[in-house]
Amino acid sequence: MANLLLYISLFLIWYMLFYHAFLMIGGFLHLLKDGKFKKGLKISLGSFPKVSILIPAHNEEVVIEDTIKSMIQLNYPKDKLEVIVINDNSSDLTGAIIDSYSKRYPFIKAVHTKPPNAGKGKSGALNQGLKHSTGEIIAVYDADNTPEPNAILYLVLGLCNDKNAGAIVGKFRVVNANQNILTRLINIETLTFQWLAQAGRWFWFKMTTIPGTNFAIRRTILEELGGWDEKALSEDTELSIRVYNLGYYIRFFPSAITWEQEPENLKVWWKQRTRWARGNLYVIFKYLFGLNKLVNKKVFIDLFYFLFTYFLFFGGVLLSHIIFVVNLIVDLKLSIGMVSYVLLITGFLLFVSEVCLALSMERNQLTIKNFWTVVFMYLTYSQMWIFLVIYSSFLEMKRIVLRQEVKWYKTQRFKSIEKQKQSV
Amino acid sequence: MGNSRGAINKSSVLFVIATVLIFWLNVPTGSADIKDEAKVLVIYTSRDGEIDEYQRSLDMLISHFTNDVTFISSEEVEKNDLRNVTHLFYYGQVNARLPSTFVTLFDDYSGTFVAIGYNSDQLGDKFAFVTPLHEREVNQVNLTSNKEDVFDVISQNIIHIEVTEDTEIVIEGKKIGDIISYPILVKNENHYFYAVDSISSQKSILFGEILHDIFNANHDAKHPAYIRLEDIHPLVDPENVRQIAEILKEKNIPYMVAVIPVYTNPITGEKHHFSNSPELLKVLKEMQKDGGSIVLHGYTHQFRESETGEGFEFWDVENNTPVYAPPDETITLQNENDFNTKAEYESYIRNLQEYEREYIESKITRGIQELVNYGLYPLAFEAPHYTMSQNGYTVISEYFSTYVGQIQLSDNDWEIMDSTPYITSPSFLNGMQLLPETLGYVRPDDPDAIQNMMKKAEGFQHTKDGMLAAFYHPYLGVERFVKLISEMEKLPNITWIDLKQTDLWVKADHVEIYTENGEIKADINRGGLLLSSLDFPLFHFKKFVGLVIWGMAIVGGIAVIAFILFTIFLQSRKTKMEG
Repeated sequence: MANLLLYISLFLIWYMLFYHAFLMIGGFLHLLKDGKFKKGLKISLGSFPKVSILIPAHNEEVVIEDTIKSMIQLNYPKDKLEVIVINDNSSDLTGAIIDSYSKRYPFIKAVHTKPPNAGKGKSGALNQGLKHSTGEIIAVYDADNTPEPNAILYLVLGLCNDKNAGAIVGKFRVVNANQNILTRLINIETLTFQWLAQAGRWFWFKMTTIPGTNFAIRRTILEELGGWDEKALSEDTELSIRVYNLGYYIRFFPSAITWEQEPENLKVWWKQRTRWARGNLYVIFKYLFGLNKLVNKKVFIDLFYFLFTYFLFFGGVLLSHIIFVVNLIVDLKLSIGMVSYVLLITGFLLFVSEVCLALSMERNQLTIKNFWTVVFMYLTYSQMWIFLVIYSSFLEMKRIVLRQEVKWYKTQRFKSIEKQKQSV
Repeated sequence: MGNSRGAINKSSVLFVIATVLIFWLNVPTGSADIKDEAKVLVIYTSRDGEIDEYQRSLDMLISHFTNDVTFISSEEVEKNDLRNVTHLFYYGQVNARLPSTFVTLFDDYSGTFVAIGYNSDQLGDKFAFVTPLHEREVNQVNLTSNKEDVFDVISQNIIHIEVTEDTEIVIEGKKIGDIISYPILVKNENHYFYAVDSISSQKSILFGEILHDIFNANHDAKHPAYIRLEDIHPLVDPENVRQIAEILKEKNIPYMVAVIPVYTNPITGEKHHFSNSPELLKVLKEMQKDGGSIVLHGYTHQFRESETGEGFEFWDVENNTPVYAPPDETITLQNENDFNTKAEYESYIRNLQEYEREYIESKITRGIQELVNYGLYPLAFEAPHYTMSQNGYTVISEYFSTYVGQIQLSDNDWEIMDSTPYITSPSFLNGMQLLPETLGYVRPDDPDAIQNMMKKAEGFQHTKDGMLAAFYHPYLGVERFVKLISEMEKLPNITWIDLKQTDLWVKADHVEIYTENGEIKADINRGGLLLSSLDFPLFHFKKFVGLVIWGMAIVGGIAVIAFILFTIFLQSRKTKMEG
C-alpha cells in the first residue's frame, strides 16, 4: 500500500515537474523570439487609440501618490490618455490625494464610490471605473504600481498590431526585492512565474493569465462580458477565461514593465496568497465542476493545470512527505530503492536550474546571492506553499459548505518605496 | 511435405543430423531396445500384503531397464499373470507360508527368474540349487569377477545359503576382518537368487550392476551427474548464487537450480516473492540462459508456521501423515478398525486424499505459473525435504515428467526415504522419470562433508551407469562450492545432465513447457495466465513502472543539463551585448 502511494505521489509530482520544464523551455524560446515582435510593432502617429487606465484604490494613501506620479511620466499622447483612479470607499487620505492630482492634470479623473456601490472589492471598483471611462482600450494597474514610462505604449502597440489578442499582459518586477529575505524570495518567484508560466504558456499554447495589473484589454470585450465578476476572488483568472471563451487570446509582452510592491512580512504574504489560492480554487469549481460552459477548449489546459497544482501536485508532495516521515519511524518496506534518491536529487537540481534560467533572463538577477537564495527557497519557501494550499482548500470548502459570502482581503502596503526604488 | 525432391532431401538430412545429435547429447538412461522387450512381473510377499518401501526400492531398480513392471502379491497371483512375462521376480520380504498353488505355479515358465529374500524353497523346484540356512551380517561386498574391488556397505543381514556345485556365485560379502565370504547373489542358468531381505540404494549397488546382465542391457559405462543449487528462495543473497553460476558457466557444467517461489517468515508470517527480489530474479534468468535449469522445489517449502527451506510443505510432519487438513485444523487420523466396513474406510481415505490432491494441485499450479510469469521455466520437480505421499507423486506426475532427488517410499513415515543407484522410471511414480540424488549435500557443520560425499560417489561408481548427483546450498559460500565441484569433476566417466537436453514436459493451467533440441519451449496462454491471479499482471506492471521511474530520472537529468546550457548561453549573450 505504501509502495502504491509512493509511486502515485511520484508520478503526480513528476508529471508536474516535467510540465514545468516544458513551460520553461517555452519561456526560453519566447525570449529568443520576442525581439522580433517588438521590432515589428508599427503605429502611425495620428492613430493612437484612446486609453483608459483604471486604478482601484481602497485606503492606499501610502502608495497612491507614487502611482499617480508614474502615470504622469507615461510616454503616451496625453490627449489620448485617461487615468481613472477609483477611490473605493477609503477612510484615509486616498481620496484627497487623488483629487489634488485630478485638479492639476486634466487626464487624471477621480471616481469616488459610495455605498451601496462601494467596498465591494476590486472587481466592483473596476466596474465603477469602467462606467466612467471612455477609452477604446482599458488598462489596469494596482494602486501600488509604478509602471515604466513606456509600459502603456508597449501594451497599446501590442494590441494594435495583433488583432487576435483580446488583451495584453506586461511584466511586473518587484520594487522592494532587496528589502528582506522574503521579498528576495518573492522576487525570484515572480520572475520564474512570468518566464515559466506566462511566457512558456504563451509560447506553446498562446495563453497567458491576466495577473491583475499592468494589462490592457479592448473595451468591446469588456462590454460584451459585462465587466468583472464581482463574486470572483481572483477576478483576473476569471476574466482571462472569459476572454478565451470569446475566441481571443491574451498576449504576453514582457517589454511593458511595471514595478510593484510585494509583502514584506509573512503574515501579509500569507493573507495575500491565501486569496490567490482561494481564487483559483473558485475558478476550478466554477468551470471544471460547475455548469458554465467552456467555449474555448484551450482553457482546459489551464483549469487542468490549476486542478493539478492545487489538488494533485500538492497532494503528491504531501503524500511523499508523509511517507518519508512515517518511513523514518516505522519500516514501510518500500521497494523503490536507489531511484528514489536519484529522483530526489534530480528534482532538486531541476528546480534550481529552472529558476536560475529564469533569473538569467533578467539583467543582474543571476547573482551568487540569488543562487543560494534559490537553494534556500526549495527547502523553505516552496514548502510553505503546501500549507498555504491546505489552508486555502480548507477555507474554500468551508465557504462552500457554509455558503459564506466572499470577502476581499486588501493587501497591506509598505512605506519607503522611493528609497528602495533607488537601490534597485 | 516439401514440394521438390531437394527439399525432401534437405529435411531428411536435417532429421538425421538432429537424431544423431539427440542420441549423442542424451544422457544414457535405460536403453530403449530392452525397454520394449522386457516384461517384468514381481510377485511379492510383504508384511501386510500391500506394496511397501521394499517393493518400491526394487521397483526403482528394475524400472531402469523397462517400463513394463507389474507387482502382484503372492496371495493373489495366478498362473495367468505369468503370460508373456520375460523376467520374473519373486521378492519374499518376510518369512511366510506361500499358497499351495506355488508348487506348480512356475512349471510352464522358462524365462529369467530372480528370487529375493525368503521363501525361495516354496517356489516349486526352481530354486532347489539354493539351501537357506541362518542369517549372517556383512559390511563388505564385491563381485566375484573382480575380487580386488571390495567396498564397504552399511552393515546388513544376509541369508546364509548353501548352493549346488553348478551354481555360480556372482556377488559375495563378508564382515570386515573375517576371512569367510558368503554368497549374496548366485546364478544357476537363468535363475538368480539374491540373499537379502531388504533393498536399499547403497546396499543394492552391486545388485543393480548385475541387473544389467540379467536384463542383458548393454548400457554405456558413463556416470550421469548433476549438481543442484538448493533452496533458492526470494531472500537468498543473489551475490553468492551469481558467483557460483559464473563458476559453473566458466567450467561449462550444466546444473540445476531448486527454486522456491515464496519465502515465508516464520515469525511474522510475511511472504516474500521473487517480484520483490529483482536482483536475484535477474541472476536466475541469467542462469537459465546459461547452463542452469530451474527445478520447482515446492511453492513455499513450509507448512503451518515453519520457515521456508526448513519446513515441510507436502507432508504434515507434526502428525507424520500426508497433508490431510488445512494448517489450522487438527485431525486425528482414524484407522480401519474405527470403521464398520472396509468400504467406509476406503471412502474416508479417498476424501482425505482428495483434500491432499487439491492442496498439492493449487500449490504446484501456482508455483509453475508464478515462475513462468517471471520468465523462469521449471523443467522438473523436487519435493521439499523429499517428502511426499504416494498419492502426492501421482498428482505431481500430472504436472511434471521429471522428478529430481530422493523418494519417500512409505506413507507411514516420512523418514523412510531413499534414492536408487541410477536413472529410472519406477511404476509408482506414474511415468515420471526419476533423476536420483545419490551423494547428499555439503553439511554446514561437517568439515569432512565433501570427503564423505566422494566416498559415497566411489560406491555408486560400482554400477555401470550409477548416478553421481549432489546438491549445494549457495549460502555456504563460493569457496566450499569450488571445492565440491572440483572434486566432482575428478570423478571418472562423468557426464553432466542438462535438463534442457533431455526429453521432458511440464504442464499446468495455461502453461505447457517442453524441450526441443536443447531449447526450452513454452506454450503459454498469456491471457489466461494473467487472469489467473492479480499478482501476475501486477508484476509486469510494477516492472514497467520501475522502468518509467528510471526514465523520469533520466529525462529529468537531461532537462537539468539543458537548463544549465541555456543559462550559460543567455549569460554569454548578455556579456557579449554589454561588451
